[in-house]
Amino acid sequence: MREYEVRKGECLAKIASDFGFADFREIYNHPANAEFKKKRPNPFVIKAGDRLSIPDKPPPKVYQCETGKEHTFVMERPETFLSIYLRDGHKPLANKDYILSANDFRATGRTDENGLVNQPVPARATSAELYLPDDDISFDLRIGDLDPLTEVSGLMQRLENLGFASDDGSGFVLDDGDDGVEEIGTATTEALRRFQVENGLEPSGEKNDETITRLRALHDKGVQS
Amino acid sequence: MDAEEDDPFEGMKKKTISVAKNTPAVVTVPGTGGDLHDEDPLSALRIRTAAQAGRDLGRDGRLALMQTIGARFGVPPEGFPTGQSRIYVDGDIRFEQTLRVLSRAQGSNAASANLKRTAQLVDTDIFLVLTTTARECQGLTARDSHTVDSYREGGLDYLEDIKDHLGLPKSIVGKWTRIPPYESGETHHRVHPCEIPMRDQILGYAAVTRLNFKNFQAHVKKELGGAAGQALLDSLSKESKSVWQAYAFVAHGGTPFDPHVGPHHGQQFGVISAFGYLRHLAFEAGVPFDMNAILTTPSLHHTDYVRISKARAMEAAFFEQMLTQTAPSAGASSEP
Repeated sequence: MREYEVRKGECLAKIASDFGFADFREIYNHPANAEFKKKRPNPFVIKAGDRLSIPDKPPPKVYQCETGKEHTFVMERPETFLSIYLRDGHKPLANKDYILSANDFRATGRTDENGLVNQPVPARATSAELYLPDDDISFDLRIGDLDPLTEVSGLMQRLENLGFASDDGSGFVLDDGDDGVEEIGTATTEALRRFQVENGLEPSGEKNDETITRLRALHDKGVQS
Repeated sequence: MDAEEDDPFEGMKKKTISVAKNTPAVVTVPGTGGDLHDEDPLSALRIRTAAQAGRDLGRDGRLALMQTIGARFGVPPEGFPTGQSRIYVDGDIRFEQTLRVLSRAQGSNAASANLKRTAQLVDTDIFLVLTTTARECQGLTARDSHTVDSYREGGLDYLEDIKDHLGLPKSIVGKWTRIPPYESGETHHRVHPCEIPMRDQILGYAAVTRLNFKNFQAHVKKELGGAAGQALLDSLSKESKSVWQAYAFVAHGGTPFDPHVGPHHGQQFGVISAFGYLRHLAFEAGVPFDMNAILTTPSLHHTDYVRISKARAMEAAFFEQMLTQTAPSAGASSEP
């Protein structure tokens, strides 16, 4: 057993793959990670700095195989995929061709009627480019980089994805308070206020339960507003 | 800067989105869908639609339209043959390159944000600013804070000297830092540029155009008297005002015209020189002085600055016409 600190952009599937586990659940469900599991109920949305216990790898399984014959081995491992709903305001970008590519994989497809890009990706993938040829527009995807919504950084990422980032190009500034705890910067407050106005919430610019619930529904569950 | 062979929009920054595996994420892509009901002419969708309309004209259509516009500016159908004043390149209009970029969602989104910000801060001809920026640098679609030398990448030679007089907020100008003056390899003058964020270049063009034109207007009133000068300025057509504004940007001063020396068209023939020249021609011909004559005096085409100014003003008129044709109200009025 060894301790591991999660680095930026990593998700459990990648960490498991790096340590030679075909299935991330061997780490996630290990009793030594019970606290982690409680803190991060979604194993794909974790944060840099999170601490994990990596169990020792079990010894390789031994199979007896007869020579001169073919043998089939079935290995179960969880699929990892991307689910991205593309929208222009409230309108889904339906039936749009897309190309998803990275160094070691490339896939083409078409969004469904809800504007959904649903594409299997390698467990180790941490970045890719999503290209929409009809519009000649592309995005840099940071896969596994999405922080939990309980963190300020996760809040900012979702607001940015939903198009509520500051229009002055300054982007978000993550302020570290005197105690080293992340605080909401001015640009984030403005973005939060815009989000609240658009969603009929009290435009306080504050991170409150109502806003978080709405943001989770809109961003993480793809609920149409 | 002559960006004749360069794509001025290369290297446009892509939007970065953070996602998690096996977890849905919703990403908004403004300008890629939706309806064309936005009355704001600087919205991304309006810009994109206008640019696409320009592309849909095809080469022949674009050439024909630009020549029609050129006739209003007193520009010959073949345009001008060299340098920054070229209007036609490889059998098409040079502005097609800009239309191509603005017809993409990424280009129109970035340009829209920059133009809206500029229009909020500087009261000037925003379409002239668009074409000036497209010809000078990559600032039309720049959305990051990467800094550049305002002279080397954009031709703002003396920005350090005038930055505090441009009427821009201190929060913006405060980030423009001094570069030690140096001799320009092109003009051999000592330039006093600033290090500025790329996305502020468009603001620089707008604010310098406004300042230079304001100073030129003051010169006109000083020469002719306040009321007479104002009357002459008020009589400017949209086309000639656009050319004078563009001219004030590229050559804000110049040597006062001296009829005994003859037309000295060259580096020193700025707006003040052209103003004196046209006034002298009117006097010689015994006709009232009309500053609109900048459109109808072919001898001024010997001056680089006038040719460049007309090219930019024509491209601005082209884009404005595309926006007008694709406006929601234009669509409504075409209904039976």
